[in-house]
Parts: sequence; C-alpha cells; structure tokens
Amino acid sequence: MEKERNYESQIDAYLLGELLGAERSEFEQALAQDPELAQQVEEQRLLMEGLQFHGNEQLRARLKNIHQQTETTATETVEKPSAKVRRFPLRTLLTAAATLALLIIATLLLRTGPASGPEIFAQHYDAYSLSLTNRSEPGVDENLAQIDELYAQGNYEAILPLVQQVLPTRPNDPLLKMAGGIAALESKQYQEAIRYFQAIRQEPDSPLADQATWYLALTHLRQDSKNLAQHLLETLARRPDADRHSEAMSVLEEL
Amino acid sequence: MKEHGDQEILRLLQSADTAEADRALKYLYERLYKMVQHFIMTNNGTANEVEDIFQDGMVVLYNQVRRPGFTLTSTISTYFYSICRNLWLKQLRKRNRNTTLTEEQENIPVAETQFDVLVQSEQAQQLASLVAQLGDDCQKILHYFYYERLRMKEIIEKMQISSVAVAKNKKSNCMKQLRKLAAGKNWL
Repeated sequence: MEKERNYESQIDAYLLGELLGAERSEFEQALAQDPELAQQVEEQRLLMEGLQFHGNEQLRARLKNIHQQTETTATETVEKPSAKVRRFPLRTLLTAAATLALLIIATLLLRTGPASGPEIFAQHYDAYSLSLTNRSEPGVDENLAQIDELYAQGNYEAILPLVQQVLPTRPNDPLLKMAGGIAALESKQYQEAIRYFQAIRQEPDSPLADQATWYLALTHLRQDSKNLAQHLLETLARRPDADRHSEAMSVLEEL
Repeated sequence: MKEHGDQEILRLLQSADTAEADRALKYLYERLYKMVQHFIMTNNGTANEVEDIFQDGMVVLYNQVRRPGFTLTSTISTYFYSICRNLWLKQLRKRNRNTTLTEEQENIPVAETQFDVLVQSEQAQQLASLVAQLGDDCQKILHYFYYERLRMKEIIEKMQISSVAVAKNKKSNCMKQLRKLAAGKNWL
C-alpha cells in the first residue's frame, strides 16, 4: 500500500513534468523494466488527457465569456493585395522564379526536423508474419485456421473477437497473443494492443518477447509517446542478439 | 506592455483565484486581440479564424504559465504572438497554402510540446465526458490539481478541506473512480 501510494505521486510528478534529474531517470529506468508500471503510467496519461480536454472546455467557456465582455468590435479594415492583372517585365519574372526556387529549398530544409512518432511508425511498421496452424500439432483448431485466413487477408478487425474466444483455451500461446496484438494495433485499438504485447513480454522465457517489445514500442510511437518507445527500444539495442536489434538501433537514431 | 506590467499580469494569470486570472485574461484580450487579428487577416485568414486561433493561443498560454517553474523569456505580447503565429502556420500548412508570412512583429521560437495541451483525440474527448459524470467535489479537486496546477495547500483552502492528507486521499479516490468508469467502458 505504501509502495502503491508512493508510485502514485511519482507517476503524477512524472507525467506533469515535475520529476527532474536523477529522480526522473531512475523512474524511467523502472518504467522500462516493469511492464505493469508502464501500463499504469500509460493509463494515467490517458486519464490526464481526458482531464486536460475537460479543463480546456471549461477554460474556453471562460474565454468566450471574457471575449463577449470586451467586444473588441473588430472593425479594423485590412488591406488585401489587389488582384489586378499586370504585365510583368522579364526581369521581375526571373527574380520571382529565383525567389520561388529558394523558397522551395528552404521549405525542404525546414521539413527535415525530427520526425514525429507516427511518421517513424509508418516508416518501420510491418505486420508480423505469422501462422497459427502451420505448427506440428495434431489436429487443426478451426478458429485458428480462420484467424490465419483473416490475418492473411488483412481483415484485422474480425480477428479480435476470435482471439478473445480462443485465448482462454490456449492461455500460454504467445503467437495467438501476437495475432491479437497486431490485429488490435491495425484496428487502432492501441490499449488493447499494448495489453497483448505486454502479456507476451510478461511470460517467462517467451520466444516472442523481443518481437513483443518491438511492437509495443511501435504502438507507443504510433501514439507519439516517444519517451515510452525509446526505453523499450533501448532494451533491444543493448543486446546485439535481440530480435529486431538493428531496427531498434535505427529507430533510436531517428528519435 | 512594460516589463513591470508583464510581471503583474503573469502573477494574476498564475493566481489560484479564478477571478484574478480572469481579470488578466480580459486584459490580454483587450491588449492583444487587434495584433493577432491584423496578423491573421493579412495572411489569408477570416474573422472567425482569428477568434479560434486567439482562443487556442490563450489556452496554450494559460497552461504554460501555470506550470511550476515557468519563466518568461520575452514580453507576454511577443510570446503570445509567437504562439498564435505557430498555430496559424499549422493551419496554413494543413491547407497546403504558401506559408511565407507577411508580418511586422518579432517572434520567439515556441517548443512544439507546448501545443500538446490542445488535446483533440477522440479518446480524450470520451474520457472528458466521464470526468463530467463524477461528483462536484471530485471534478473540482481533479481540475484544480491536474489542470489549474494548484498546490495541495491552495486546494484545501479553496475547497475548505481540513488537511493536505485528506485532500490527497480525496484526489486519489476521485482518480480511482474515474479510472473505474473508464475501465467499465473499455476506454483505457
């Protein structure tokens, strides 16, 4: 209980940007190693976004009120450049063309700032290729075969209810959870995706743990939570033998 | 606006007293509206868009100045102009318009993260609707703590709660209620 309360105020401080220096890095370290804590932080972040939205609405109502009181009777006339057709001498045209070229170059240069999380996601994401029935198991579960088929078709939304249906009978099947995670991610149900990927990571000696870490990081990137993604990617980058090691390194570079 | 005036405005904007903060906001509307209007309307904007950008700008400004440790690195006027300028540039880019601006004011760089407070995701909107379902006291304490960024000491005074410990407990319980509502809807 004491620990829980302690975490609670730390999570608040972290998300409100009030955790600094060593305390912050210590907390981030804990985050990277404790999926349960990471999940808790993510949920708290979402709730705080809801509170932010709610608070913005209240502030907007206040602002609207204030604006009406001031009634800055906005009658300032603004001169717009007149749209008369004119003949331009050649030199003006050339100067204009040169200016335009410069502008284009400047715009291109400006665009090379740091890419956003969703941009990086789009560049690196590929659905995990999996088959649930192509395993040396006697007999084929019909549901699994159907998931395979839907997966191959990219019909991800239809997969989710099936995975939920089968999972209780195969609670220790990481591949099934992977199918659920990818399907949720593709269906933009990010919290659901996070749950699946974390479930895989929590299993001891899971053969898909690194893959799950990779997709979990991508899910965070998709939501522009770069910090959370970064810590996960660092755990892959630290081990040269990890699956997705080199990809993690290259995403980290972009971050 | 003079330096001294700015510090006074800042103090009011950061106040735990809503009426004081509102006074500062009103002052800023009176002082800065024309400047933003002129800028947006000389750069392909309409009167309605001026109102929207100005309001969004105020939301950003209000949230930023109320963060602990906020320091002003220019005049409020220049800072606010720079916020609105960024917001307008984003609009223009969205429409793929030429983004060479006609402008007369100087501006300072504004970090992209400052605009994060303008959350617009559907999920945030849904969760906000759950906040409105909480009891009055819960809404207040969460709003004061997470949005207005008041210290617990200020909160117990405002809400006439007997001690900081009681307030912390209350805040924690209200957050649990909100989490429960969200989990019930599968929105987390």
